[in-house]
Amino acid sequence: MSLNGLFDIGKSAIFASQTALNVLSNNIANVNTPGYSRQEAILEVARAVQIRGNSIGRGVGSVEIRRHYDNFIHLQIIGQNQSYGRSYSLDRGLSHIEQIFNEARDLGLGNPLKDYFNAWQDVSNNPEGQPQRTALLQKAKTLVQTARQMESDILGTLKEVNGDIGTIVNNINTITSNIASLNDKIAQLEAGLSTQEASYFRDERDRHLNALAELMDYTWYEDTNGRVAILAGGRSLVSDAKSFSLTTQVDVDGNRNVYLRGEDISSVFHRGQLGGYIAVRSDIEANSLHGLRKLTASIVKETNILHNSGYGLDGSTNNDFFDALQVYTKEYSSGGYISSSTVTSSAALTLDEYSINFVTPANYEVYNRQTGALVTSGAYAAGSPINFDGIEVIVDGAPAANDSFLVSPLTNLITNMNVAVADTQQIAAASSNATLPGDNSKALEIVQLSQSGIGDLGNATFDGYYQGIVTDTGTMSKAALDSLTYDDNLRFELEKKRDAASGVSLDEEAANLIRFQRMYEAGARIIKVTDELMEMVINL
Amino acid sequence: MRITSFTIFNQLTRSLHDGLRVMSRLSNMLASGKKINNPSDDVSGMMKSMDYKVSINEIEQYKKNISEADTHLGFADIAMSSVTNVLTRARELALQASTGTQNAQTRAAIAQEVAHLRDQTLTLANSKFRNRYVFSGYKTDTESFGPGPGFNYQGDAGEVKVMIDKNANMAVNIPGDQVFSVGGSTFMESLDNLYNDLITDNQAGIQAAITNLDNALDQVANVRADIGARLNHLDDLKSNLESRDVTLKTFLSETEDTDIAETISEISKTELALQSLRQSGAEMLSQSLLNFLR
Repeated sequence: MSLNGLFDIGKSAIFASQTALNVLSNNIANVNTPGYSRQEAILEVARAVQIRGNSIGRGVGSVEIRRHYDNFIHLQIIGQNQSYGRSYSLDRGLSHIEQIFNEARDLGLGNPLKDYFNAWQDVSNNPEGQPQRTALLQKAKTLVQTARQMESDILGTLKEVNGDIGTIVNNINTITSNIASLNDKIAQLEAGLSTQEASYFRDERDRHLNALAELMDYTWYEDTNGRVAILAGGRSLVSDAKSFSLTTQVDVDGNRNVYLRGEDISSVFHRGQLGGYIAVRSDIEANSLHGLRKLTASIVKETNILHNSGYGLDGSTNNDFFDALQVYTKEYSSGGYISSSTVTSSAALTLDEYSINFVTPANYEVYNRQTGALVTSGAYAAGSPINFDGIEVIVDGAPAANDSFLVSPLTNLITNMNVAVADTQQIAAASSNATLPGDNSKALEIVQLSQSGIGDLGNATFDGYYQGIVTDTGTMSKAALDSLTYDDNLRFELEKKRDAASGVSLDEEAANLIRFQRMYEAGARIIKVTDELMEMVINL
Repeated sequence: MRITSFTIFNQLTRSLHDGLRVMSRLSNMLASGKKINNPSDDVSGMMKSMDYKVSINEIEQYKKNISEADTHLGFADIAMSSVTNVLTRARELALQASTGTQNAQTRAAIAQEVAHLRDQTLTLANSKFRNRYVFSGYKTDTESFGPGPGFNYQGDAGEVKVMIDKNANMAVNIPGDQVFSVGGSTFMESLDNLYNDLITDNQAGIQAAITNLDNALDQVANVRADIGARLNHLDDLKSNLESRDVTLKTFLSETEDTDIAETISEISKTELALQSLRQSGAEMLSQSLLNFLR
């Protein structure tokens, strides 16, 4: 072994410490970069040489720059982000709705409902009194206005949710196309140099995968070329270097649905913000919106039935107090149409929604959408009436198999709702046709409504049913908030674990800085010493 | 486990956020005076408080209805007390006229006063309260009794009921035919007959009138007893409702009102925690090996 060999060893020490210093400087520079994985230069003894039976090392080399990364934690973070995204959307939607029904601050229908029936009591105390009658009409109008305001607030929230679904889908598309292009870069880099991962691109892709997890639920795997494939509900979103865009479309109910390659795949999303918004949308529709409409419809129906049978101060009878309930229909059919729909008996209305389904073009079945029960069925004859539960619907034209019609006394109820009585004389406090100004028995019957169980509302009182809506809203909102807190904490714990493996510790880097500085110095000293030795030899 | 400055920083900001969130919730509770500010703050408490509010609202309305019933029945009672006075005076006059010391002339003089009493009874029977004829049943816009000599009852048997408690009604009127007539003839009729008997000096008729007036006074006493019983019932119910009201309001306050002392001590506790967190955080964040490598 020659003296020259010492130069090489010294040089290798200088080069290796330079590489290490480069890597650790980069770590320090990225100490606050989100998603950055710490890197480390791995040093190894250069291949030893055999000299008279002994092997002597030939210096040091940096064989690899390793990225500290725990794949298992990354998988957990992706899963947790999906849960977090869902909780986030649920909380966001429901906390809105909760404010609409916030009886803790006397917002909502509670007080107008009490005031309305109190006004009827005042009329019953003073059946001939004008001021009491005028007050009743005012209170009834307040009830209508409050219900209308609440419905429009709920619909506004739903609209916002649908808008958010559109934004989220756009974000998803941006992210998937980024992942696809990163896939390509990673595969190209790693194919050239198999020992070196394309760390920066991988970090960036991980960040995208995390962000995507917060938006939607997906499954993914990495192929042998380092490319990830992303699947939503078994359908490919990213494959190799290609990504497929999601699109949205608003359906007849005003709901924005998610499409992939022309297929409605809204039902495959359960987690992530997208899944959360899709779930919260149907929660709000089924509970808050439907509950409010049903309660209001029931007040209209019960008041009207009694009021129709009563007599006003002017002797008039058969007057509706509120505008009568009407049937709203919607067609999911190209060949058939509904030519008329009427309420034949308001007493027989169940305040549920129905769908008329055509199993074959010749046969229809009527289902109650709330209970799922088959109400009636029969052979279809164009233009002949279909009667069920106080509703008469006439379907005309040529409906095809699987066509369906929505029939509902609720959908437009609150929008169309008004106090029908304009003249205080027509308020029916009396139950006899002789003009008896002191007769308050009908008013008393209407007052009794507020204290008796209503069949359509599952034998709950109006107040009781309304309390049910408020409590359900509160419970759902509380559950969403709890799971948001839980998911957030869990996510933080996982991020701590990720940080433990991949985060940059300044103390550690500072210590390493000194370590490699010393190594560099010592390497330089080796060269100096070798140079002196050389000089000595030359001067011999 | 490796702890990096990033972890420490995140932990610190999270803890600060948590503390501030608690502070905001507590000060919100103080500002609104309520510990339930959203249904989700305490769902079961919210449910209870809504229940209490419904009951309290009902009770307030019953109290209103009861005072309405009170004024109606009170008015009827006052009218009946006047009727008692009138009838008593008429009976005195009839007794006076029935004695042998009177002659046709003095009886005719007494008849004038009886005529007056008859008209007064009719006025009382046609009493109006708040522009309603009190003794006409449901026909509150019609005079209860027509003019003489028939004095026919023109009202009906309608009982104006007021709700005084859950599922409990009370009639606040008494139809006039049940008050002002006894044995098939009205008080006014009896007085009119007495008047005629006095004019015609029909002594047997005057004797009969005394019996009639006795019956009438009995009838009035019965009616007043009935009214009195109703008023008593209302009084009892009112104090009952009053105490229910107080109890429910106490429950409501316990359910939804902030315990101020407790909240304030919670606030100072949280404040202390936040302060120590800030101090230790400032110290921890400034610690670094780099400080010592000079």
